[in-house]
Order: sequence, then C-alpha cells, then structure tokens
Amino acid sequence: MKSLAIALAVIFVLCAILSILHPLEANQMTRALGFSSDKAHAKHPFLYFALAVLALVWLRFQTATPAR
Amino acid sequence: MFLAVLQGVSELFPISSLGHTVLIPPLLHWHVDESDESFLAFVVVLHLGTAFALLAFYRKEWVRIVRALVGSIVRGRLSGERDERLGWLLVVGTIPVGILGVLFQSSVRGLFASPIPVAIFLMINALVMFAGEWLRRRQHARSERVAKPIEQVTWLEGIGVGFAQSLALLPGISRSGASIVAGLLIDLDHEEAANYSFLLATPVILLAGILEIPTLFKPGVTIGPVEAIAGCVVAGVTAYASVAFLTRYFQHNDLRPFGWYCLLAGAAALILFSTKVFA
Repeated sequence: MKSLAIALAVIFVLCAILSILHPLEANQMTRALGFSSDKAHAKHPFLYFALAVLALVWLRFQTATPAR
Repeated sequence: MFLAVLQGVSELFPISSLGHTVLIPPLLHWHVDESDESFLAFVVVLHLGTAFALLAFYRKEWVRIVRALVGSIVRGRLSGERDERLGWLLVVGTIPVGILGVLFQSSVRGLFASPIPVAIFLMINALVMFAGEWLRRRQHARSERVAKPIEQVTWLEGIGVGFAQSLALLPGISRSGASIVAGLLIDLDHEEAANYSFLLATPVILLAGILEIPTLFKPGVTIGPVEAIAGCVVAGVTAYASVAFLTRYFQHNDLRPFGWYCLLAGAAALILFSTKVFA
C-alpha cells in the first residue's frame, strides 16, 4: 500500500505539471483532463496537487509509528 | 439582487440552484446570457457569499474539524474521535465531486443546461427525495433500526455520499437533496444528514468560488466593486438565514415538501417550455 500511495502521488504531480504546461493536442479526453491549451483552467492543477497531497497524507498514515 | 437572493436560498434548499438559474430568467423574460463574462463573474461573487455564510454558520465545527485533521496528520494515525472522523469523511466525500466536477462539469452543463432537460431533472430530483424518504421508512419499519451518529459512518459510505453529491452536476438535481438522501440511506437522521450535507458542500462551493476569482478581472467584465460586494452580502445573508432555517426544519421534518415543490415546478416548466409559451 505504501508503494501505491507513492505511485499515486507521483502520477498526480505529473498530471498537475501537464495541466500547467498543457502540451498535448486538443481532443475530448485531453480537454477534460486539462492537458490541452484550450479551456485550460486553474481548477485542473489545483485538483491534481490536492490529490497528490492526499496521497502523501495516506502514505504518512501508513508509515507513522503505531501508538503503544 | 434577485439573483443573489435566489442563489442564497436555492443553493442550500434541496431544490437545485443551477436548475433555477436556468429556468427563471426565460420565465421572467430576462435576456441573460449565461456565458457572458460579467454574468459568470457575478455568479462567482454569489458563490463566495454562500460559502462565507456556511463557514460562519458552522465556524465552531470547522475550527474543531481542522484542528482534529491537522492533529491526526501530525500523529500519523486516527484516534477515532468524532471531529477527526467527520473531517476525514468530509475529505473522502469531497474527492468524487472534486474529480467529476473539474473533469466533466463544463461538458455536462453544455449538454443539459437548457430549460426542458432541467425541468425533467427537477422532477427526477423530486423522485429521488420521495424514494429516499420511502426507502428510509421501509428500512426502519422492517428492522427497527435507529439512526446512527456521524462517527459510525464507514469510509465507503462517506465516498457514497460524495458520489451522490456529484449528481448535482446535472442541472436540476440538488446537491443538498442528493447528499441528504444518501445520508438518510446510511442511517443518519434528518438533522445529522442535513448538517453533514451542508458541511460537505462548504469546501466545494468555497473552492469553486475561489478558483473562479480571476473571472472577476477579465477584460469585458462590467461588474463594479459596489455591485460585487452587495451581491456577495445579499447572497451570504440569505444563505445564512436558509441554513439556520433548514437545520431547525430538519430536526422534526423531512424532504417531502421540497419533493412536491420540485415535482410541481418541474412539471409546470416542462409544460410551459415544451408548448413554446416561453420559447
């Protein structure tokens, strides 16, 4: 589960970067994901960064020392 | 100002604010261009007013929730106390509507934000509320279940309520109606389900407003600071009064009156718009 949390955090950070740079050609999917330049909006990077932070919080819960 | 009052009331009453925003201007023969930058900027201001009202109404709860969330992250484990559980339920409940809203909101609105689909969804909203009340009554009559407190809600149930809230992306389906029905179906009582629904709506409405703030400064926006502040205050005061009324109302009453309103309003709008009276 720790590796899943790390993988999710990395994926969401990459998605955030893609949604800021929006380098992909516009089609229905890239538009919805915020990866293309038309309809680019601050909502997409914010969502991806928030999800990355949540994945790291999940990792934190898994790696903390259990209470005695 | 009428739009500000409408937003403040209909955002929190389970009658769909978006549905009313689509239906009322043509019914009153207003020529509102809903894609106009000034109109969108005004809607942002109204959302911020509503979100501030919710934050003000639940300020004590939010302080406790944020403290509990930060505490659990610092400790790295969950203690199981009420505010912490509620806080994480709000987080997991916000994820579905956050993802679906950001990815699909504009395409869904493009498809359905016209009077006839909205009138149909308003009637579906009514049926959802009637069905929710009926199912809850049946569950409780059969198994003599009692309502459970929020800290007994499971993570899966929390995600389920979040998905129910996402139905409000369809104009005509109410965010609070869908999430209160989902709360009832996981055995919360009406008051607890309504409070949970309003707390769940707060981050969504607030973030949606904050992320749209740049709209206010786009070229072509003609809303002045006085109009913006007045709209925000009127929407906020109306929303505060609405949430104060609804939290009292749901101590002893259910969703059925709102169901009847949505059914009748949807049917009337469907007849009026499909017979081209207001085309």
